[in-house]
Amino acid sequence: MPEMRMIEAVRAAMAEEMERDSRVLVLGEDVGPKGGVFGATDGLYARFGEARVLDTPLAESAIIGVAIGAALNGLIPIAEIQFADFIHPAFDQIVSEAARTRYRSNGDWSVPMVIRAPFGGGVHGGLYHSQSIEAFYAHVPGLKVVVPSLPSDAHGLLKSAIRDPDPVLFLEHKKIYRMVTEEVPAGEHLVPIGPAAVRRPGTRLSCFAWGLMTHYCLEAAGQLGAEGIAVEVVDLRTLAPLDRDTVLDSVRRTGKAMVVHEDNLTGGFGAEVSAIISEHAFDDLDGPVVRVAGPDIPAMPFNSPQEDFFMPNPQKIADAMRKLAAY
Amino acid sequence: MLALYHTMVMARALERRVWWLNRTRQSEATLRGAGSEAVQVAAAAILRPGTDWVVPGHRDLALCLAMGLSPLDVMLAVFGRSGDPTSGGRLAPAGFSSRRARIVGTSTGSGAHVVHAAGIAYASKVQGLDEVTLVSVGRPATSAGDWHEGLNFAAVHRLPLICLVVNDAAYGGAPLEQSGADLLVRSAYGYGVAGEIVDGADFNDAFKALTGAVTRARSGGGPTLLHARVSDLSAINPPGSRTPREQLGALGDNDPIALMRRDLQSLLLLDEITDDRIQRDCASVAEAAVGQARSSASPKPAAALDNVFGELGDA
Repeated sequence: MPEMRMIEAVRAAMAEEMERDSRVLVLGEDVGPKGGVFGATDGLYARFGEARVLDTPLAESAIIGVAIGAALNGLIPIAEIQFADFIHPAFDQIVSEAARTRYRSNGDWSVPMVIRAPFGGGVHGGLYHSQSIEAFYAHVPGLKVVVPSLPSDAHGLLKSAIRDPDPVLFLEHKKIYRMVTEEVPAGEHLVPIGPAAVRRPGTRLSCFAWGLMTHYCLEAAGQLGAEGIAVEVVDLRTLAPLDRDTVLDSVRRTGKAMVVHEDNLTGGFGAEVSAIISEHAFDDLDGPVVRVAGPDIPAMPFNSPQEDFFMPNPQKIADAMRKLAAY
Repeated sequence: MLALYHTMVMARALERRVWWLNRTRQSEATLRGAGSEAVQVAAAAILRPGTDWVVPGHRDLALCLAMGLSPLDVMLAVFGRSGDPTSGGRLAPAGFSSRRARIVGTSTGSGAHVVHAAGIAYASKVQGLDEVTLVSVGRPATSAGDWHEGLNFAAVHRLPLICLVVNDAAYGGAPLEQSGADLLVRSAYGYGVAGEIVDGADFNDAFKALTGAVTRARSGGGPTLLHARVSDLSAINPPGSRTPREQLGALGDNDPIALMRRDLQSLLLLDEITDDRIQRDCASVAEAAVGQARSSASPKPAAALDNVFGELGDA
């Protein structure tokens, strides 16, 4: 059971799947000899060769579109978008093409492929290396959206994504690439796409998060625990399809709900979680569903004071938890 | 060659039948490929159906018929029936699709499919498969970013890809001129690929160019950009066509079916009696396909929920 950081877990998952299945290949900007801008593909080029670890032109629509074509012709591509901020030129290829191929052909064609993208802020990336993009894509039928927060989940979920018959957007928060170390099960380790995980049980309120915010919520919940307020923290892990049962079960036990994400507040994925709770667990609620999120300004300024202003952090989250618990 | 002529006549008969159904409000669909049938069947004549790949544009009815689609398949799409092999009645009919025939359906035909074709060709190359991919676009799609990205990727990897651009001046809604370059094929030089202009109405000219392109692709010589000039004869039909009335008459002079008929007759491969029989046979097949499609099942409403996702193990 080796200990790994998330970046190493991601790399191991790709290497294992490439070893297992010769149809799997990696493509993206600088994923070859350089090993990716974060090192996620480090060593894969030397191990599997240039045909299966492909440096592409700087053209995101082509990265996704070529992956779609390769999938149509029998391969299983893992397309890396260097930063999630750069995925926007490929929006059409992901939404209109990859996500709809099975549907528009009534099941005749399919495109099993994974799109990996480092996302999120708090790393002084500025406006174009900090964005959260999950809400755009969690809205799209035909596309799965996965956001691990721990190395073992990153490993097992990425392997599941590679074996999935449909396109999966796999979002890796860049700040936790090297933040957390964890034992990752050896051998055939698959974490299914879909189920959420209760990271910390509690009775007073339910807090839902994904990616980096899971860690911040756990830190905040630790503070409230010391004050005698037991907060349940649920790591959604998969946003599409969303584990509604775990969300609703948690809220029905605690009576209060909070969603935390660093994406902008308005139209963020927290709105969907909030709507589901309001629609299906209204009678169990003892307070309003609260969202803690980035403000409605472009994410996010480079300078420290404004980046700190933008980012939810354990203190902001703990303050919101106290307020909701006292409601 | 006679079989290809038959396919061209069949495509035209289907298109005319659908146009009449549309004008008489019996169908929402229209098909527009008249005028470009020669280059389409020339492509099919050199490609191997079921082995080579076709990623068609929206006017490639004759190409899809020649690669394995049936007239009934076309009419099932036109009437949005559940047996439609392209989409089960989900897509408004224009582009066609069939995994069995390796015809890959497209969304809008506005260039997004060019990168898919490059990806298909890349997969052929890295898997060591003897396969050629042909992608067909109208001239306006060459203004789109995906056109550039697809052609550039194919050029970098010397992929077995043929980009067939069918000149499409009367394309609805698009300006007549799509670039500052006087000739599209000059861009082939910029990409480092072969490029050629062909007379898309002349089967022999088109077949020669496509044979060269396919030979190049199969021998590792990389992609070819072919610009096929055609007259959009579909413009003769719809009222409100953007083609000026005074130009419509001249379009008929460039009718690929008439040109091929003349060639076949000069080679003594076709006489008037046989031609009449082919024309009547195609009209009859089109009519039968209409009848059969009309009487076939419509999709069930709840089946709209099917095929959003596949089952684990499908990959």
